[in-house]
Amino acid sequence: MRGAGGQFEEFVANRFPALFRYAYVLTGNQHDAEDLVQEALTRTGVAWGRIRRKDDPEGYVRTTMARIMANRWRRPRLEHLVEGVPEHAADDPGLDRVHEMDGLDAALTALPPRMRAVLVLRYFEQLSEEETARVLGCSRGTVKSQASRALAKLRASMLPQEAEQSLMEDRRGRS
Amino acid sequence: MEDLERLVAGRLRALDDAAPSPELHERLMSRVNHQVKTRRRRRRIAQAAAGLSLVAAAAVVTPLALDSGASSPSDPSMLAASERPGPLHERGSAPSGPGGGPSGSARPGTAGGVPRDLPSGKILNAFGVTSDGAVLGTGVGPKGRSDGVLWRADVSGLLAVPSPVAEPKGLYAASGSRNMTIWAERRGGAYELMCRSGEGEAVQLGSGGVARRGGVGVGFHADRDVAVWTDKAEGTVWTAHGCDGVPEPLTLGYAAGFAYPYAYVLSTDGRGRPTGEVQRVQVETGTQETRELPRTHLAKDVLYTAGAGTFSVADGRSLTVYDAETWQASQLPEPLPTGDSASLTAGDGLVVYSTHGQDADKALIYETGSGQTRVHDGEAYAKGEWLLTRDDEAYRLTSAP
Repeated sequence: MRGAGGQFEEFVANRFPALFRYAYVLTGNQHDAEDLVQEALTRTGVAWGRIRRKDDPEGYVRTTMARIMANRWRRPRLEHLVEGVPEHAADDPGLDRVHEMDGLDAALTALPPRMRAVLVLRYFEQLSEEETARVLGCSRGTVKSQASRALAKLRASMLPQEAEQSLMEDRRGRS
Repeated sequence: MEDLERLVAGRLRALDDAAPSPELHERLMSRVNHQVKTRRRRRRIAQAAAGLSLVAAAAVVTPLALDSGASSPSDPSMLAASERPGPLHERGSAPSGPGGGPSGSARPGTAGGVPRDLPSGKILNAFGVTSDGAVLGTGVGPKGRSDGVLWRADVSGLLAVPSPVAEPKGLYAASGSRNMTIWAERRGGAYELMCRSGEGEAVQLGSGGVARRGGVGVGFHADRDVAVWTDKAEGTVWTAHGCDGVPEPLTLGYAAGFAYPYAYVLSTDGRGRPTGEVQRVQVETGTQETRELPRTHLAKDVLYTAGAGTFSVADGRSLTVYDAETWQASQLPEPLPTGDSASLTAGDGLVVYSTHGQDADKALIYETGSGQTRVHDGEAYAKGEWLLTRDDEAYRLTSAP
């Protein structure tokens, strides 16, 4: 019979790629994803003997990751990762769509961890507000307000690009 | 789902193809295995130090010990093995819970400790514990002078080191949950309710101030990221979901206790005096159920608290616990400890009356499931699944899931 340690190692060996991908979705960058999956697996490994739902340890790890993300605000953020160095906008209509997506990705990256966790659970995991609240251990109202604020931030972050795009189109029309 | 939501879902799905390299897998697994071993070793050491290994054995024999009346008053297994509140007992009834003790499904609680030394050089003095196991308090020096800082230590998490939340004027109490910390701050001649999540600056909740009944009640409550408080201007009870939630009026009266999702509101007449009715209000739906309190439980110096399925009243001489559903009252025969000041808190299966005195602090801890009580030499607080006790120079957090 395999011991608890062996079961845990076997579980991790099988599910590590999927868990890392989920951590990447939650954090948006490789560095934080590594930290997140490491911390969640460590907590799971420590608690392995007490985890009741042995039939769904992946669910336990995913919930742990979401909660760590949602609580990450308690830790001081010493650095903030960005997608790239700041550049001046180029007047290239072909890049507009790319810029729009880059802008959205950047805005997603800039969201506070808890808001991003709510978006991941609501729109990536397709969980309901009640299910999301249960995973994060908060009320449904908090989920609603966090999702609403997150979308408002994303919307606002895309507005300057729309304005810039409009300006470039205007310039092209005049030249 | 609107366009932006679809766009967000699409961008998140696009991230779901980040394949970890075999090297990364190896590297992380090496770290995880190392960390697991280290933390398990630390946990064993901590448990041994806290005597939890004895708790594990005691939890098994607790039913027998309780039946024979042989349990020690300081036996933590009574708390660690506590269950949800069962039917309560009338005064003088046998002090045992349904079935004679905790069920076999109970397991010993987890525990954590936090030293009282603060970076400010002061000593942490707790206001209480939050439903997610964070300790809130302020720093006090050897001469009793406060540093004026609200500290929060998330003992149940990895970071047990207290961190400053705010430095408000007139700090006298604080409450909180996983994603919110709330406190009353003196601004001008009144107290305003302030709220902070970790993502930003402190924000003010509402604009009518905070009513503090009789100078002993706290006047505001938080649980599951929902705040409930009474404004001073209108005598209205308000609720807000999160620090950024828009405050919504709940009902008129005074919010005496809150255990999500129920707020317990003392109805008041036109002059702010309690009528004797208690409204049990579901904060999500607004539905109300009316209960009644005897006149002796309406005095200004009475303390109130709400736990899961209970509403409790301490009038300085005795503690009465009401079953929230049946409103059956259970008055404890034990006298309450005396002191210069007192607090009343409740968790999922505990009600704790704690006193602070010049000579010593004492707390009466009542387990609602079994009807057992014990006196703790030191302050104690309960909330949610947590019991916070102070033993000499450290706080100890015990979970009774």
